[in-house]
Amino acid sequence: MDLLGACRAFVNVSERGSFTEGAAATRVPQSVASRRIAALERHLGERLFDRSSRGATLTQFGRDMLPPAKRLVRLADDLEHEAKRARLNPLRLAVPDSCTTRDLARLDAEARRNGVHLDLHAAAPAGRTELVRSREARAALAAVPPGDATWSVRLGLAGATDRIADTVYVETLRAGRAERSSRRSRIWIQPEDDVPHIRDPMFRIRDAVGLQPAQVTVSTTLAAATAEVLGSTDLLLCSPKQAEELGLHWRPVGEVDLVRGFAVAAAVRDDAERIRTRLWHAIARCLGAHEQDGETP
Amino acid sequence: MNATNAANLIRELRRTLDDGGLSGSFLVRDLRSGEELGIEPDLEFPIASVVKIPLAVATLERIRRGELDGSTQVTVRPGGITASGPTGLSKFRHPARIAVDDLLYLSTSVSDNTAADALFALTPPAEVSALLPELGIQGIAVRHTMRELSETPAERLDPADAHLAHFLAIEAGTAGRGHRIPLLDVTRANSGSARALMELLRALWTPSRIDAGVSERVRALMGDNLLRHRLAPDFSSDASKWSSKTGTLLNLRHEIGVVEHADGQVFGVVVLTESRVPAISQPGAEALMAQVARTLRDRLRHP
Repeated sequence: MDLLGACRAFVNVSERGSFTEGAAATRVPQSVASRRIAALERHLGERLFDRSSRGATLTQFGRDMLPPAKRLVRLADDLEHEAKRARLNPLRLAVPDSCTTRDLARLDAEARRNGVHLDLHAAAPAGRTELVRSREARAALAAVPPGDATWSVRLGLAGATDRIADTVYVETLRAGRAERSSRRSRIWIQPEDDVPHIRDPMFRIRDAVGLQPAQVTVSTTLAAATAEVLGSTDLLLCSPKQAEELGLHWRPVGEVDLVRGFAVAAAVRDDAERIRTRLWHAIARCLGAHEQDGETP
Repeated sequence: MNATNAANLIRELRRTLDDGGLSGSFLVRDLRSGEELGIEPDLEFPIASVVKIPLAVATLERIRRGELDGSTQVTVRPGGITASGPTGLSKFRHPARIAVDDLLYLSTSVSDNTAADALFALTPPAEVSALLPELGIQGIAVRHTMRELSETPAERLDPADAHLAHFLAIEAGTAGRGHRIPLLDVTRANSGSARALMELLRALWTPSRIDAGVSERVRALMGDNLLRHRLAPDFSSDASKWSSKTGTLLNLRHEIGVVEHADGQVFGVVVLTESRVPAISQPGAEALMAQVARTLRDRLRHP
């Protein structure tokens, strides 16, 4: 039998002193309320109501059973209320600090529509992994090599002036033998890309094509790197989306295909699965990642 | 010369070198007045092929003493080295008979390792090392032949992975200028400081305990140096003569030489560098070495 449903009917009918009103308060037809109370009486082994009187008068057994029945109903209500609150409890997600406020706001709004409440926490790649490890965040968009990535963002070089060529070759930054005193253009790597699978191939290309070590440098902040690029012929390693936001002109790199990969790192596997399935598109838009068919959203 | 200005210039040059991934010893000296300017000139370096100059001096001195005959023909086995880099006999496919005088040319002017080892077979490293102090040359240690020089980790790797050998060369140094690779360890390799090598240049270009005839032969061999990509572009012209010897080993790039101007001025230039860039071909570094050496020389010439 439905013990909780029967107790609700029992409490409501006894409080209102009428089967009709009690059934209405329980939001069931009167016949259902009567059947539930009859079932409860069979279950407990004694009559709860005195059927001989008009209206619903409690028997002595019914008066004894009323307080525990009320307690049971209140506890059940608490349980449902807590469940509702827990469902609204936000999931703290560590995201790249290179995402703009607008991107993060749109991700948050879209996640709510999909039934996931996020508490977004921006951090650099190493910081994001650490937040999950220390359980300060439930999940993070971790920087991973493209082979392990759930989301992929193609990187290229962006400069303040538009270039005619479709592709930028790193080698074009190499100074000719006759130019010795003029300032050499540099490539700036932002903190988000200070990870082995992006930084090291960039350094290897720098050495292989004969640039000076100082010509490819990791900057301390994205803003500092952008400032260097705006006032010169320097280039920023970034995604097409970032270049657009910063007002720079983006071109792919000629020598190598560099890809920023992201995957969900979470302490609980279920959290990771929920983010991947419910928020794939929202996160792809936020990161400027390719859709699975290769198109940018 | 204004001392503050010179200090500023050297600080600026150090920064330029660092941007280019280079560090090292530079010493430029006016060989007539003895005035000099340098960056870390007392640091010891493995000297790589620069050792072929002490070898030439020792061999020519023994010819002068009558211990060797320059016209003696030596049978040289082919080097059989297919890797790019080595020159001359090292690339020969068949045995050849060559006179000692001509081995001196190949070793000193073409930097031929096989020719140098043929000379080391006549005068072993220990004997060269013992002869130098007799001629008033101190501070240059000659400990091994050229064949051992080619036994670097680079020879054991696929050419596509050669940059790993350079990375090892850059990263495996130990305290006190030691190194996990014996050839880069100044306590086990042929080594010397910029100052010691400058003394060798001075002894060859000005009157010294080295016999005048021997000095003249060595100067001529250095004048014929075929490797002119490093410092030569910044020092040679129709109004000056550049005589030198280069040395290259993994991340080490050296050149020592003398520029003689038509007006009679003579400057010794010693450049010993190590690069922290793990790449084999670094024309930018070569140009930078020359630029720094020229800037120092110009400051000495026009104080």
